[in-house]
Amino acid sequence: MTLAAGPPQRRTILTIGSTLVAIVLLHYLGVLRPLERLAVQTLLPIGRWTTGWLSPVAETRSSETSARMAILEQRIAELNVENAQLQSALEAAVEADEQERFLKTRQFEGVAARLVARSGDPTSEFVTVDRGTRAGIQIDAPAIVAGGVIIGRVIAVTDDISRILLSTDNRSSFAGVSLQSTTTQGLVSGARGLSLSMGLISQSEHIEAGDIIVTSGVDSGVPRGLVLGEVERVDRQTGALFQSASLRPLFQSNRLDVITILTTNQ
Amino acid sequence: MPRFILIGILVVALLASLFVTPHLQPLLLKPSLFLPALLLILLLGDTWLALRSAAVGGVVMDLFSAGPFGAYVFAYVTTVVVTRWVFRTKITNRSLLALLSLTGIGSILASLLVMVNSHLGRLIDPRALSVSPTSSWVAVTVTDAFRTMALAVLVYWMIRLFGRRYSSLTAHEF
Repeated sequence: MTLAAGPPQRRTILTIGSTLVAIVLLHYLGVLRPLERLAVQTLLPIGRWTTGWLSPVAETRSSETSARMAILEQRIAELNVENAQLQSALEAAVEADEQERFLKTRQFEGVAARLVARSGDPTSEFVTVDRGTRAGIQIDAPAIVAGGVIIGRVIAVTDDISRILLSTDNRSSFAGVSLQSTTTQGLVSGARGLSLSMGLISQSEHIEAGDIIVTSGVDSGVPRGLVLGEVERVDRQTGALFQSASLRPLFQSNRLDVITILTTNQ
Repeated sequence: MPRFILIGILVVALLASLFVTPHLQPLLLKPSLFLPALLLILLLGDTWLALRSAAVGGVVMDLFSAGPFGAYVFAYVTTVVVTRWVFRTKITNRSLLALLSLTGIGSILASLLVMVNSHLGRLIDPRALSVSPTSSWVAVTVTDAFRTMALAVLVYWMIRLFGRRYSSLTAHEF
Protein backbone atom coordinates (compact mmCIF):
# COMPACT_ATOMS: atom_id res chain seq x y z
CA MET A 1 0.00 0.00 0.00
CA THR A 2 1.32 3.42 -0.94
CA LEU A 3 0.49 6.21 1.44
CA ALA A 4 -1.28 9.06 -0.22
CA ALA A 5 0.32 11.94 1.57
CA GLY A 6 3.41 10.51 3.22
CA PRO A 7 3.92 9.20 6.74
CA PRO A 8 3.54 11.47 9.72
CA GLN A 9 6.99 12.13 11.17
CA ARG A 10 7.69 12.06 14.86
CA ARG A 11 7.92 15.82 14.98
CA THR A 12 4.57 16.12 13.27
CA ILE A 13 2.96 13.73 15.71
CA LEU A 14 4.42 15.76 18.57
CA THR A 15 3.01 18.90 16.97
CA ILE A 16 -0.43 17.34 16.68
CA GLY A 17 -0.23 16.07 20.25
CA SER A 18 0.78 19.43 21.66
CA THR A 19 -1.93 21.13 19.58
CA LEU A 20 -4.53 18.81 21.06
CA VAL A 21 -3.25 19.48 24.59
CA ALA A 22 -3.48 23.19 23.85
CA ILE A 23 -7.05 22.80 22.54
CA VAL A 24 -8.12 20.94 25.68
CA LEU A 25 -6.49 23.50 27.97
CA LEU A 26 -8.02 26.39 26.05
CA HIS A 27 -11.39 24.66 26.30
CA TYR A 28 -11.18 24.47 30.07
CA LEU A 29 -9.97 28.06 30.22
CA GLY A 30 -13.04 29.07 28.23
CA VAL A 31 -11.04 30.68 25.43
CA LEU A 32 -12.59 28.44 22.78
CA ARG A 33 -16.15 29.15 23.87
CA PRO A 34 -17.10 31.31 20.85
CA LEU A 35 -15.81 28.69 18.43
CA GLU A 36 -17.50 25.88 20.33
CA ARG A 37 -20.74 27.83 20.37
CA LEU A 38 -20.50 28.31 16.64
CA ALA A 39 -19.90 24.60 16.09
CA VAL A 40 -22.76 23.61 18.39
CA GLN A 41 -25.17 26.13 16.86
CA THR A 42 -24.28 24.83 13.41
CA LEU A 43 -24.98 21.24 14.40
CA LEU A 44 -28.07 21.84 16.57
CA PRO A 45 -30.48 22.14 13.61
CA ILE A 46 -29.32 18.74 12.39
CA GLY A 47 -30.02 17.29 15.83
CA ARG A 48 -33.47 18.88 15.98
CA TRP A 49 -34.24 17.66 12.50
CA THR A 50 -33.17 14.07 13.16
CA THR A 51 -35.08 14.01 16.45
CA GLY A 52 -38.23 15.19 14.71
CA TRP A 53 -37.67 12.86 11.82
CA LEU A 54 -36.79 9.75 13.79
CA SER A 55 -39.50 10.00 16.45
CA PRO A 56 -42.39 9.46 13.98
CA VAL A 57 -40.41 6.65 12.37
CA ALA A 58 -40.19 4.89 15.70
CA GLU A 59 -43.94 5.30 16.15
CA THR A 60 -44.96 3.99 12.74
CA ARG A 61 -42.69 0.98 13.00
CA SER A 62 -44.98 -0.43 15.69
CA SER A 63 -47.80 -2.69 14.69
CA GLU A 64 -51.36 -1.57 15.38
CA THR A 65 -51.57 -3.75 18.46
CA SER A 66 -48.35 -2.55 19.97
CA ALA A 67 -49.35 1.01 19.14
CA ARG A 68 -52.59 0.56 21.07
CA MET A 69 -50.69 -1.02 23.92
CA ALA A 70 -48.33 1.91 23.95
CA ILE A 71 -51.29 4.30 24.13
CA LEU A 72 -52.80 2.32 27.00
CA GLU A 73 -49.47 2.20 28.82
CA GLN A 74 -49.14 5.92 28.35
CA ARG A 75 -52.66 6.39 29.72
CA ILE A 76 -51.85 4.25 32.76
CA ALA A 77 -48.71 6.28 33.31
CA GLU A 78 -50.72 9.50 33.07
CA LEU A 79 -53.28 8.17 35.54
CA ASN A 80 -50.52 7.16 37.90
CA VAL A 81 -49.09 10.62 37.67
CA GLU A 82 -52.51 12.16 38.22
CA ASN A 83 -53.03 9.86 41.17
CA ALA A 84 -49.66 10.85 42.52
CA GLN A 85 -50.54 14.52 42.20
CA LEU A 86 -53.88 14.01 43.95
CA GLN A 87 -52.22 12.10 46.77
CA SER A 88 -49.61 14.80 46.97
CA ALA A 89 -52.38 17.40 47.34
CA LEU A 90 -54.06 15.26 50.02
CA GLU A 91 -50.82 14.96 51.86
CA ALA A 92 -50.48 18.70 51.66
CA ALA A 93 -53.83 19.15 53.38
CA VAL A 94 -52.86 16.81 56.23
CA GLU A 95 -49.39 18.07 56.79
CA ALA A 96 -50.42 21.70 56.66
CA ASP A 97 -47.34 23.37 57.97
CA GLU A 98 -44.89 21.48 55.87
CA GLN A 99 -47.05 21.54 52.78
CA GLU A 100 -47.85 25.21 53.07
CA ARG A 101 -44.18 25.90 52.81
CA PHE A 102 -43.97 23.30 50.06
CA LEU A 103 -46.74 24.90 48.03
CA LYS A 104 -45.21 28.31 48.41
CA THR A 105 -41.89 27.16 47.15
CA ARG A 106 -43.40 24.96 44.47
CA GLN A 107 -43.91 27.77 42.01
CA PHE A 108 -41.80 26.10 39.44
CA GLU A 109 -40.25 27.95 36.63
CA GLY A 110 -38.94 25.95 33.78
CA VAL A 111 -37.43 26.08 30.35
CA ALA A 112 -38.78 23.90 27.58
CA ALA A 113 -35.97 22.38 25.57
CA ARG A 114 -35.82 20.11 22.58
CA LEU A 115 -33.80 16.95 22.60
CA VAL A 116 -31.08 17.14 19.96
CA ALA A 117 -28.81 14.20 20.67
CA ARG A 118 -28.53 11.10 22.75
CA SER A 119 -25.53 9.54 24.37
CA GLY A 120 -23.14 7.98 21.92
CA ASP A 121 -21.32 6.30 24.80
CA PRO A 122 -22.41 2.68 24.90
CA THR A 123 -22.82 2.54 28.64
CA SER A 124 -24.24 5.99 29.34
CA GLU A 125 -27.81 7.17 29.37
CA PHE A 126 -27.85 10.89 28.85
CA VAL A 127 -29.50 13.24 26.40
CA THR A 128 -28.49 16.61 25.03
CA VAL A 129 -31.05 19.41 24.77
CA ASP A 130 -30.89 22.70 22.92
CA ARG A 131 -30.97 25.11 25.87
CA GLY A 132 -28.14 26.12 28.15
CA THR A 133 -27.00 28.74 30.61
CA ARG A 134 -28.35 31.51 28.40
CA ALA A 135 -31.84 30.15 29.11
CA GLY A 136 -31.15 30.05 32.86
CA ILE A 137 -30.32 26.36 33.17
CA GLN A 138 -27.92 25.40 35.92
CA ILE A 139 -26.03 22.28 36.92
CA ASP A 140 -28.09 19.78 38.93
CA ALA A 141 -31.40 21.24 37.75
CA PRO A 142 -34.06 18.52 37.50
CA ALA A 143 -35.55 17.72 34.10
CA ILE A 144 -39.18 16.70 33.90
CA VAL A 145 -41.73 15.68 31.32
CA ALA A 146 -45.48 16.15 31.28
CA GLY A 147 -47.17 15.57 34.59
CA GLY A 148 -44.10 16.14 36.73
CA VAL A 149 -42.24 12.92 35.99
CA ILE A 150 -38.57 13.52 36.66
CA ILE A 151 -36.37 12.04 33.97
CA GLY A 152 -32.98 13.09 35.29
CA ARG A 153 -30.87 16.06 36.11
CA VAL A 154 -28.48 18.38 34.34
CA ILE A 155 -24.88 17.24 34.66
CA ALA A 156 -23.21 19.61 32.23
CA VAL A 157 -24.29 22.87 30.70
CA THR A 158 -22.78 25.27 28.21
CA ASP A 159 -24.18 28.45 26.71
CA ASP A 160 -26.49 26.70 24.28
CA ILE A 161 -26.81 23.04 25.27
CA SER A 162 -27.32 20.99 28.41
CA ARG A 163 -26.66 17.34 29.08
CA ILE A 164 -29.16 15.50 31.22
CA LEU A 165 -28.17 12.27 32.94
CA LEU A 166 -31.31 10.13 32.84
CA SER A 167 -32.51 8.64 36.09
CA THR A 168 -32.10 5.18 34.54
CA ASP A 169 -28.32 5.59 34.20
CA ASN A 170 -26.33 3.55 36.72
CA ARG A 171 -24.63 6.70 38.01
CA SER A 172 -27.87 8.54 38.70
CA SER A 173 -29.39 8.61 42.17
CA PHE A 174 -32.23 10.47 43.88
CA ALA A 175 -33.57 10.37 47.39
CA GLY A 176 -37.05 8.88 47.03
CA VAL A 177 -40.07 8.50 49.23
CA SER A 178 -43.25 6.50 48.84
CA LEU A 179 -46.42 8.48 48.34
CA GLN A 180 -48.43 5.76 50.05
CA SER A 181 -46.24 5.77 53.14
CA THR A 182 -44.24 8.93 53.55
CA THR A 183 -41.93 7.36 56.09
CA THR A 184 -40.75 4.84 53.51
CA GLN A 185 -37.62 6.42 52.13
CA GLY A 186 -34.74 5.11 50.11
CA LEU A 187 -32.20 5.82 47.43
CA VAL A 188 -33.43 5.47 43.85
CA SER A 189 -30.72 4.60 41.35
CA GLY A 190 -30.65 3.76 37.68
CA ALA A 191 -30.44 0.13 36.67
CA ARG A 192 -28.56 -0.60 33.45
CA GLY A 193 -30.23 2.22 31.61
CA LEU A 194 -33.53 0.38 31.53
CA SER A 195 -35.22 0.66 34.90
CA LEU A 196 -34.79 1.96 38.44
CA SER A 197 -34.00 0.33 41.75
CA MET A 198 -34.68 1.66 45.22
CA GLY A 199 -32.36 0.61 47.99
CA LEU A 200 -31.64 1.47 51.62
CA ILE A 201 -35.30 1.04 52.58
CA SER A 202 -35.57 0.28 56.25
CA GLN A 203 -36.87 -3.22 57.00
CA SER A 204 -39.52 -1.77 59.28
CA GLU A 205 -41.13 0.24 56.47
CA HIS A 206 -43.96 -1.02 54.34
CA ILE A 207 -43.65 -0.92 50.58
CA GLU A 208 -45.46 -2.94 47.95
CA ALA A 209 -45.93 -3.26 44.22
CA GLY A 210 -47.92 -0.38 42.77
CA ASP A 211 -46.61 2.24 45.20
CA ILE A 212 -45.56 5.49 43.58
CA ILE A 213 -42.12 6.78 44.50
CA VAL A 214 -41.48 10.52 44.35
CA THR A 215 -38.48 12.69 45.09
CA SER A 216 -38.13 13.40 48.78
CA GLY A 217 -36.73 16.88 48.39
CA VAL A 218 -33.48 15.98 50.13
CA ASP A 219 -31.38 16.32 46.99
CA SER A 220 -30.04 19.77 46.31
CA GLY A 221 -32.11 21.57 43.70
CA VAL A 222 -34.67 18.78 43.36
CA PRO A 223 -38.08 19.62 44.85
CA ARG A 224 -40.22 17.14 46.70
CA GLY A 225 -43.00 15.36 44.86
CA LEU A 226 -41.58 14.77 41.39
CA VAL A 227 -42.56 11.30 40.28
CA LEU A 228 -39.66 8.85 39.95
CA GLY A 229 -41.43 5.58 39.21
CA GLU A 230 -43.81 2.85 40.26
CA VAL A 231 -42.81 -0.10 42.41
CA GLU A 232 -42.86 -3.32 40.41
CA ARG A 233 -41.27 -5.77 42.83
CA VAL A 234 -40.05 -5.70 46.42
CA ASP A 235 -37.02 -7.69 47.51
CA ARG A 236 -37.20 -8.37 51.25
CA GLN A 237 -34.70 -10.80 52.77
CA THR A 238 -34.70 -11.85 56.37
CA GLY A 239 -31.51 -10.88 58.11
CA ALA A 240 -30.71 -8.12 55.66
CA LEU A 241 -30.34 -4.59 56.97
CA PHE A 242 -32.45 -3.05 54.24
CA GLN A 243 -35.06 -4.06 51.71
CA SER A 244 -34.97 -3.00 48.07
CA ALA A 245 -37.45 -2.55 45.26
CA SER A 246 -37.46 -2.52 41.48
CA LEU A 247 -39.19 0.50 39.99
CA ARG A 248 -40.66 1.07 36.58
CA PRO A 249 -39.82 4.53 35.25
CA LEU A 250 -42.89 6.44 34.09
CA PHE A 251 -41.25 7.77 30.96
CA GLN A 252 -39.90 6.14 27.87
CA SER A 253 -36.41 7.33 27.14
CA ASN A 254 -36.64 6.51 23.46
CA ARG A 255 -39.65 8.79 23.05
CA LEU A 256 -38.31 11.85 24.76
CA ASP A 257 -38.57 14.95 22.66
CA VAL A 258 -39.56 18.10 24.52
CA ILE A 259 -38.21 18.28 28.06
CA THR A 260 -38.76 20.90 30.75
CA ILE A 261 -35.85 21.85 32.95
CA LEU A 262 -36.66 23.56 36.23
CA THR A 263 -34.79 26.80 36.61
CA THR A 264 -35.73 27.92 40.11
CA ASN A 265 -33.70 26.85 43.09
CA GLN A 266 -35.89 24.92 45.47
CA MET B 1 -10.78 7.21 -4.66
CA PRO B 2 -11.25 11.00 -4.78
CA ARG B 3 -10.62 12.63 -1.44
CA PHE B 4 -13.90 14.56 -1.43
CA ILE B 5 -15.77 11.25 -1.43
CA LEU B 6 -13.78 10.08 1.59
CA ILE B 7 -14.45 13.38 3.38
CA GLY B 8 -18.14 13.03 2.55
CA ILE B 9 -18.17 9.51 4.00
CA LEU B 10 -16.49 10.76 7.19
CA VAL B 11 -18.90 13.66 7.63
CA VAL B 12 -21.94 11.44 7.11
CA ALA B 13 -20.52 8.82 9.49
CA LEU B 14 -19.82 11.45 12.16
CA LEU B 15 -23.28 13.03 11.93
CA ALA B 16 -24.93 9.61 11.93
CA SER B 17 -22.98 8.61 15.04
CA LEU B 18 -24.01 11.80 16.81
CA PHE B 19 -27.61 12.21 15.77
CA VAL B 20 -29.02 9.04 14.18
CA THR B 21 -27.75 5.75 15.61
CA PRO B 22 -28.24 6.77 19.28
CA HIS B 23 -31.94 7.35 18.49
CA LEU B 24 -32.43 4.02 16.76
CA GLN B 25 -30.38 1.91 19.21
CA PRO B 26 -30.44 -1.29 17.13
CA LEU B 27 -30.22 -4.26 19.50
CA LEU B 28 -29.90 -1.76 22.36
CA LEU B 29 -26.52 -0.72 20.98
CA LYS B 30 -25.37 2.72 19.95
CA PRO B 31 -22.98 1.99 17.13
CA SER B 32 -20.44 4.60 16.18
CA LEU B 33 -19.95 4.72 12.43
CA PHE B 34 -17.26 7.35 12.61
CA LEU B 35 -14.53 5.13 14.01
CA PRO B 36 -14.92 2.38 11.38
CA ALA B 37 -14.90 5.05 8.67
CA LEU B 38 -11.77 6.57 10.18
CA LEU B 39 -9.95 3.25 10.40
CA LEU B 40 -10.88 2.18 6.93
CA ILE B 41 -9.79 5.48 5.42
CA LEU B 42 -6.52 5.13 7.30
CA LEU B 43 -6.05 1.67 5.84
CA LEU B 44 -6.95 2.95 2.41
CA GLY B 45 -3.74 4.88 2.77
CA ASP B 46 -4.86 8.44 3.41
CA THR B 47 -3.05 8.90 6.71
CA TRP B 48 -3.25 12.66 6.75
CA LEU B 49 -6.95 12.72 6.12
CA ALA B 50 -7.42 10.12 8.86
CA LEU B 51 -5.35 12.13 11.34
CA ARG B 52 -7.07 15.42 10.60
CA SER B 53 -10.48 13.77 10.66
CA ALA B 54 -9.66 12.10 13.98
CA ALA B 55 -8.78 15.50 15.44
CA VAL B 56 -11.82 17.37 14.08
CA GLY B 57 -14.28 14.50 14.59
CA GLY B 58 -12.93 13.85 18.08
CA VAL B 59 -13.45 17.47 19.10
CA VAL B 60 -17.03 17.38 17.79
CA MET B 61 -17.69 14.12 19.65
CA ASP B 62 -16.28 15.72 22.79
CA LEU B 63 -18.56 18.74 22.39
CA PHE B 64 -21.59 16.45 22.53
CA SER B 65 -20.21 14.01 25.09
CA ALA B 66 -20.84 14.10 28.82
CA GLY B 67 -17.33 12.88 29.47
CA PRO B 68 -14.33 15.12 30.05
CA PHE B 69 -13.44 17.25 27.05
CA GLY B 70 -10.57 15.64 25.13
CA ALA B 71 -11.42 12.00 25.84
CA TYR B 72 -12.53 11.28 22.28
CA VAL B 73 -10.07 13.43 20.39
CA PHE B 74 -7.06 11.93 22.15
CA ALA B 75 -8.45 8.42 21.78
CA TYR B 76 -9.09 8.78 18.05
CA VAL B 77 -5.80 10.46 17.20
CA THR B 78 -3.83 7.92 19.25
CA THR B 79 -5.76 5.08 17.62
CA VAL B 80 -4.92 6.37 14.15
CA VAL B 81 -1.22 6.73 15.00
CA VAL B 82 -0.94 3.32 16.70
CA THR B 83 -2.97 1.48 14.07
CA ARG B 84 -0.87 2.98 11.34
CA TRP B 85 2.32 1.97 13.16
CA VAL B 86 1.06 -1.62 13.50
CA PHE B 87 0.04 -1.51 9.86
CA ARG B 88 3.53 -0.54 8.72
CA THR B 89 5.68 -2.53 11.10
CA LYS B 90 3.82 -5.52 12.54
CA ILE B 91 1.11 -6.65 10.17
CA THR B 92 2.78 -5.93 6.90
CA ASN B 93 1.02 -8.31 4.56
CA ARG B 94 -2.01 -6.96 2.75
CA SER B 95 -4.42 -9.84 3.05
CA LEU B 96 -8.04 -9.62 4.08
CA LEU B 97 -7.03 -11.19 7.38
CA ALA B 98 -4.57 -8.35 7.97
CA LEU B 99 -7.26 -5.78 7.27
CA LEU B 100 -9.66 -7.53 9.66
CA SER B 101 -6.99 -7.72 12.38
CA LEU B 102 -6.14 -4.04 12.08
CA THR B 103 -9.72 -2.82 12.16
CA GLY B 104 -10.46 -5.07 15.14
CA ILE B 105 -7.37 -3.89 17.01
CA GLY B 106 -8.13 -0.25 16.20
CA SER B 107 -11.73 -0.51 17.35
CA ILE B 108 -10.87 -2.14 20.68
CA LEU B 109 -7.96 0.25 21.22
CA ALA B 110 -10.21 3.27 20.68
CA SER B 111 -12.77 1.98 23.20
CA LEU B 112 -10.03 1.33 25.76
CA LEU B 113 -8.54 4.77 25.22
CA VAL B 114 -11.91 6.52 25.59
CA MET B 115 -12.37 4.71 28.89
CA VAL B 116 -8.87 5.53 30.17
CA ASN B 117 -9.11 9.14 28.98
CA SER B 118 -12.50 9.59 30.62
CA HIS B 119 -11.02 8.52 33.95
CA LEU B 120 -7.90 10.66 33.53
CA GLY B 121 -9.99 13.61 32.39
CA ARG B 122 -11.95 13.57 35.60
CA LEU B 123 -8.81 14.80 37.35
CA ILE B 124 -9.41 18.06 35.49
CA ASP B 125 -13.21 17.93 35.35
CA PRO B 126 -14.52 15.89 38.29
CA ARG B 127 -18.16 16.37 37.27
CA ALA B 128 -17.69 14.69 33.91
CA LEU B 129 -18.99 11.18 33.34
CA SER B 130 -16.49 8.37 33.08
CA VAL B 131 -16.81 5.06 31.28
CA SER B 132 -16.27 1.95 33.38
CA PRO B 133 -15.28 -1.52 32.18
CA THR B 134 -18.58 -3.15 33.06
CA SER B 135 -19.80 -6.32 31.40
CA SER B 136 -22.06 -4.28 29.12
CA TRP B 137 -19.07 -2.13 28.12
CA VAL B 138 -17.10 -5.25 27.19
CA ALA B 139 -20.05 -6.60 25.22
CA VAL B 140 -20.48 -3.34 23.32
CA THR B 141 -16.75 -3.01 22.66
CA VAL B 142 -16.45 -6.53 21.26
CA THR B 143 -19.62 -6.05 19.19
CA ASP B 144 -18.22 -2.77 17.85
CA ALA B 145 -15.00 -4.52 16.86
CA PHE B 146 -16.86 -7.24 14.97
CA ARG B 147 -19.06 -4.70 13.24
CA THR B 148 -16.03 -2.72 12.17
CA MET B 149 -14.46 -5.88 10.81
CA ALA B 150 -17.64 -6.69 8.91
CA LEU B 151 -17.51 -3.22 7.36
CA ALA B 152 -13.88 -3.89 6.50
CA VAL B 153 -14.90 -6.88 4.40
CA LEU B 154 -17.23 -4.61 2.45
CA VAL B 155 -14.51 -2.03 2.00
CA TYR B 156 -12.02 -4.74 0.99
CA TRP B 157 -14.39 -5.65 -1.82
CA MET B 158 -14.77 -1.98 -2.76
CA ILE B 159 -11.00 -1.53 -2.77
CA ARG B 160 -10.61 -4.34 -5.24
CA LEU B 161 -13.50 -3.05 -7.33
CA PHE B 162 -12.32 0.56 -7.42
CA GLY B 163 -8.69 -0.51 -7.62
CA ARG B 164 -9.27 -1.46 -11.19
CA ARG B 165 -11.12 1.77 -11.90
CA TYR B 166 -8.96 4.36 -10.17
CA SER B 167 -5.26 4.24 -10.75
CA SER B 168 -4.86 6.79 -7.95
CA LEU B 169 -6.42 4.47 -5.41
CA THR B 170 -3.69 3.89 -2.92
CA ALA B 171 -4.76 0.58 -1.46
CA HIS B 172 -4.26 -1.47 -4.59
CA GLU B 173 -1.94 -3.84 -2.78
CA PHE B 174 -4.78 -5.36 -0.84
